[in-house]
Amino acid sequence: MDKKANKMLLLSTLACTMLLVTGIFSLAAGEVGYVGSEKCKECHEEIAASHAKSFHAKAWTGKGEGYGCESCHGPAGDHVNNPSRETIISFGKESKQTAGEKSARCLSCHSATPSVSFWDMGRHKREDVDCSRCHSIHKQSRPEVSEPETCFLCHKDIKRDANRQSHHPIIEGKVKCSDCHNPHGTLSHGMIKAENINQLCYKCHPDKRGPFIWEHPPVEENCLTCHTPHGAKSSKLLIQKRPNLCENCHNGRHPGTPYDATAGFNGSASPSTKLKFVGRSCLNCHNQIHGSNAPGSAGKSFTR
Amino acid sequence: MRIKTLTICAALAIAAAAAAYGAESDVSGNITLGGRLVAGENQSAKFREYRDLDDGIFGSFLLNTYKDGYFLSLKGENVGLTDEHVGLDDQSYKLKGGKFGSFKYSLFYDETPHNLSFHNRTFFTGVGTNNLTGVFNANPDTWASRFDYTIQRRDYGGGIELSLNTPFYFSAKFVEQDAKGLKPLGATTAATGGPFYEMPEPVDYKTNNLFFDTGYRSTNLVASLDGMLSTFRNKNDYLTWQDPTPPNGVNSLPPDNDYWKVGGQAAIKLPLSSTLALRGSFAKLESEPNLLTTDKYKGDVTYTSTSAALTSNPIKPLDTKIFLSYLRKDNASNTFTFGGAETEVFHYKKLNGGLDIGYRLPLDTRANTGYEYLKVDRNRQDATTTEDHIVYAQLKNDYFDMVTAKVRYQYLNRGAEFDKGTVGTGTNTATLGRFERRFDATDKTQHAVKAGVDLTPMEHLEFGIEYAYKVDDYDVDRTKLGRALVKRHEVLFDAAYELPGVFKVSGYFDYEKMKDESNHRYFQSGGVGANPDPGSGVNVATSYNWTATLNDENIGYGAAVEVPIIKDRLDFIASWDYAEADGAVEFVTFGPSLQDIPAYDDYVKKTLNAKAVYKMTRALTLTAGYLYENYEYIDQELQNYQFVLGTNAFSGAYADHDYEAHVGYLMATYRF
Repeated sequence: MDKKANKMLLLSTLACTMLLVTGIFSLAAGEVGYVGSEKCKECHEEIAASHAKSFHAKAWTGKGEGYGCESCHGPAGDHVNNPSRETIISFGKESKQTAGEKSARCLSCHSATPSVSFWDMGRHKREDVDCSRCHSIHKQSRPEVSEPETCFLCHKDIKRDANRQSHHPIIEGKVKCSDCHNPHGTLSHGMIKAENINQLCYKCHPDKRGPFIWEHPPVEENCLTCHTPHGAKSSKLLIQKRPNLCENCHNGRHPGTPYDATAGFNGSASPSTKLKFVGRSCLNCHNQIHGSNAPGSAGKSFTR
Repeated sequence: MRIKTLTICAALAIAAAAAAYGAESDVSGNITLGGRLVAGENQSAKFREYRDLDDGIFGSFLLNTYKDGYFLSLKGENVGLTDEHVGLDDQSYKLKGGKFGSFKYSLFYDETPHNLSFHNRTFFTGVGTNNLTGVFNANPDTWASRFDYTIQRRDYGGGIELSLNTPFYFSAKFVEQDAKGLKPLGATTAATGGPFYEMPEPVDYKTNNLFFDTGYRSTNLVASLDGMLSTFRNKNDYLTWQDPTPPNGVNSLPPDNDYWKVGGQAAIKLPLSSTLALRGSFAKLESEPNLLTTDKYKGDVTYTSTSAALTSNPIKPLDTKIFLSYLRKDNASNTFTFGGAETEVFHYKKLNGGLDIGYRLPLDTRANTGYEYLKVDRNRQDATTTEDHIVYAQLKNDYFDMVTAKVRYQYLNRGAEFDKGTVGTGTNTATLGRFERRFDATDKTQHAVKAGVDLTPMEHLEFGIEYAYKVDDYDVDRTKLGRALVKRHEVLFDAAYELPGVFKVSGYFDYEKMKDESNHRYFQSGGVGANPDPGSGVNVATSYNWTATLNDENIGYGAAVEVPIIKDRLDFIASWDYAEADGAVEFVTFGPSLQDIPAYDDYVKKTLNAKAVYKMTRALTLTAGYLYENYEYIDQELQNYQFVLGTNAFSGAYADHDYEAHVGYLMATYRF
């Protein structure tokens, strides 16, 4: 070993030793500042009582001193000496921590939770939404989010859509936001729980997945070409009313006929014209619009 | 089925009780029991679309127990009975349990009604079967069958998760979904035209899904394998309906299919506060329907996807994300001549990638900007390739504790390639294909702006306002027929104020205006002077241009109040919601005159919800409530509904929207 290498080794050893000694002395002097949960209760009796009934507290029962208030709020030594928000990690609206700092406290345990493993990829993280915005830790119940109410607090446009006349049963409590989305992040757009929209929709609508002999290409490619998922003014969660929606792609049919007010039940148009407008409009005849297994042109045009 | 439901409930209750009554258990929960009366003009399917609201008894329960690191939770909702049946159509039960850090299990049962339309009728007999018979007559009062279009769905199953306090885990979940009922189906007596009949299609689906997920997890690495097996079975392959002309009508129904998927993913922590996420999956979908002929079809579709994303936070103010994903749908189904028509298969590839950069500026301002690219290749003449370029920028500021403001702009440019420039002969209908495109796969630009402010000017007072504007401008030089322009304005406002101990009040208002313009051409092949080219300048009775402008307006507003009448004893809670939608279509024609459509999915819905909650003791709460709903719907397609139109027969599907309902209820909740 040459002289230069020896010198480097010596310096490194010295530096490590100094760090170790400093660390040991700091611990011995109590500078890390952990005070234990009993100390916290002296001032935060109500919160401590509530937390004692929480899911976290139950999960930590019997795990010893390392599991308590300071697991999330950090060492409270300074806070005991100087009670203020500046001296403690807090999670409420008036917290002095950034969203990333707050989430980091939760992720110190939960980054290993499989459903949270893509947290860094998700939109919520990038929009500075921290865990405590949705989860209540001190409450008696499980820290599960109340859906859709919690989601609606920020996603007001979705709340509006979910209350429209045509909607998935979200407000009725039969479809939860988390049935389709993983709010903790995915690699898919919209943080959906599938690789693409169609594979997500097919989980609950397997009758639409085919494969069909006669495919309707936009249907196969993306359900959202015609449907909107949360709620719509038009029935069947359609982005627009038929026949307008269909005519936005198809002109060479019937052939390019305008269906106006005269095509209503009491209108002056002929019955054959009305037939393409009233009731379920185009679907009166093209009833297998998601795909057909019928022979010939009838199958190809989704009428059988 | 009801017996099955009750058996499941009993099993869940016994399991929960066994755990709850164990020595030294920590037990909490609640039980609610109530009675309900429903009055008014409420016999519309819309009123009961996803809920069972009838006179009767209803309730719910929740039980949480903990003991020695074990936990168990049992929850039941919409439990009850009506004068017609035991167990409500929207009941649900869930049991969860396990040991912290070691294992979990769950069982669930959930029913969801989907009431589509009530008071329907048809001249066919055999409603509910896949074989309808009957002879059309023009007097619907004499028609043989009365029925409701409704589908009852039941989901039930269970799952387990095992980790046994190790970094390894395994989970599996089984779900069975059953759907039974009727939905409307329409068909013409001849495949290419002729009298039309609307009739009930039987729905009798059973889907079995098995999910699994296993992997390794630690702070710096989570890696897993997951999969799904799913079988869909439809009891009815076809619906046959018989009428003297033609002797048989046969409609294909959703085919049985088998689907499986395997995937793997990993999240790896790297230096510079970076995380790499990877995912790949392969899915296969197969079907071999009985075609009622000697023809054979073997449906074989696969989805292959890979995704990767790298996020990094190299210095405190900077964070980045770069992502890339690739998905392809391959269709290896056989092609053949089927009923005289050549079948074809559709497949596509999607490549998506992008970069997002976030930077924290002074004064608590965060700036984000990014670029995204999406390319879709299809084996379709009418939409060969589309390429999207998206750029965006966003600023968010929360310097002042009482204000959070955000503004975002996004620009999209979509280029499309197609190969239909020479279809048709110049004088036949197919020639129109030269000028029309799928609106989702044609050239367009999009501008989207969104701005919002959340304000807390004083303690207990909050405001929020958002505005969004989006315009999709389609290239009408390349896509002469079809969607041309879509503009959308949205405003959302809400406010809440609380005077602690005195009252809470909140309100909201939302408004949306959408305008969709589209270009069309009427063309009668072989007509005198007819020309399919919309740019030809030819506008005669046999071929002319026309445009449609769809205007939709949506308004919603409401308020809620919560007042403690007697402190800690009696609370009064009420809310009022109003929603109105107004749609219309305006036409411009270069041919015969057209009448605008004044009512297109127009509706007004009013909802009043009021209740008084009296806390008799710490454990017992009594609630008296009243719900009022009024819904009026007007639409040109359903107005003046007729069951018979010439020789065409309708069944009344979706003609029963309007309702006015009063629901009164009393309930007691006991907490323990």
